[in-house]
Amino acid sequence: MSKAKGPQDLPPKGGYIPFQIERIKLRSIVTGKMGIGIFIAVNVIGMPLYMRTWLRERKHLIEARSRELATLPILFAENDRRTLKQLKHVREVEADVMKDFPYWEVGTFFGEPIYEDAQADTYIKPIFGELYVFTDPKDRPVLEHIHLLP
Amino acid sequence: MFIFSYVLLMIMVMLSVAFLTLFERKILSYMQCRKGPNKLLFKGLFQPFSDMLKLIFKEMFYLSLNKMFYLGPMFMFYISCLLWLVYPWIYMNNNMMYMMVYMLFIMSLNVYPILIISWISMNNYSMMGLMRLISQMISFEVLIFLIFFMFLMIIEDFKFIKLFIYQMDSFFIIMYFPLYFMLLISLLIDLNRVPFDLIEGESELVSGFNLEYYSSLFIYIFLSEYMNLLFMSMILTIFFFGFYYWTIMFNLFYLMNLFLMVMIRGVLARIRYDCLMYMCWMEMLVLMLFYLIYFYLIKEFIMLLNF
Repeated sequence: MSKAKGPQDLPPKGGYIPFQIERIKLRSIVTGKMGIGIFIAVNVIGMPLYMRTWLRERKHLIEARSRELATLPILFAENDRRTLKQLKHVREVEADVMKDFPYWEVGTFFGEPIYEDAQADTYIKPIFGELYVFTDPKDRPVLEHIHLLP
Repeated sequence: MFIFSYVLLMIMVMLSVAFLTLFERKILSYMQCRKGPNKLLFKGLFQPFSDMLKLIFKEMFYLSLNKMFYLGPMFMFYISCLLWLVYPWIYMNNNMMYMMVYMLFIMSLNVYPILIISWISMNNYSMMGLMRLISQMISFEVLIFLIFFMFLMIIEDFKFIKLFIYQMDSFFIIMYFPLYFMLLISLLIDLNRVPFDLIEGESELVSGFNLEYYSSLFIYIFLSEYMNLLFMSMILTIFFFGFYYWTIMFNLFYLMNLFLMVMIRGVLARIRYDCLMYMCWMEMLVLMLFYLIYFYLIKEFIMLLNF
């Protein structure tokens, strides 16, 4: 018969302590009625604290919204400026590309404007394809579509 | 980078699951006046790995030809992994906007793999376990949702970061202590642990819904259950103690909640099934609805006071 490895689980030196057979009555420190009392006390003290935090967060929220509203005109202006720059760039590139083509006028189709009933100097918001017609797809800013990525 | 850190997190969680089993066995053994695993290598520290190796190298044969027989446990494990995406640790700070909704969605999805597993086992005992489990889980899903709805009312946002901000003055464990006990009970039911593990009543049923599963397929079920246990402990810590993830106090209270959940297993006896259902629909739900109305009135009062 092989010897057991390591120490065996032997009883403690004085033998085991005798078993507890008598019923131990449960100590109930917090009873149900005390729980209701604690609930009322906690709510009386806690709700003003909660109201303080709530008001603070409310102020943060209002501050964030007004911050956004304040920056919105600047962002719109930047957007318009960038669009105009891009349109100018498109016109220059078009003139460069079509310079050898006879009877071609830049911004029109052989002298025929895109919008017949619009004035010549009316600004019409360009559609996506017009704006990025001579652009490499890789040059598009990543921020335009980053919200679609996971 | 995100995927790498997520895989790292999953490895950490699985490692902690391994030691959680040892933790549980040790606590239970000392509560029952006996020694737990104390032999393997260093004081039984490597017992979980031994158990894992035993499970992996056990002989395996499929009792059902349907593919769902072995895809079901994997699905269960997959859902538990998805649940852990909520945890924004330092390498993976995905503070999603609708995090609370995502968590509720995944937690309610947890029922379906159990349904698949027990249906595909083609066993009467599994079906009986299924019926008990599904009815109790779905009943308490309502309660869990109402509790989280209360939190949504408190913080007025779906992000977890607001929970920390709102708990800077006073912890929610002090302010809303009835919620803590309600959430603890409903999470224990959601996890099918003692005293609510009615699927495993030895005298009536054999082993619940996972009766036909053993060896490597059982690992998935086991891992998923214990990962959920760790996750629920994390949720309790975040929702009620409001420590940031990287503090040492977070870890301490996380372990405290874990210890509480394990200790309940050694203390309480299994309750009767009709008592459980009565507790859900007649007591807890009514209490929770009254609490919601009370809190709504308080918020209305606060708004009237300030505007």
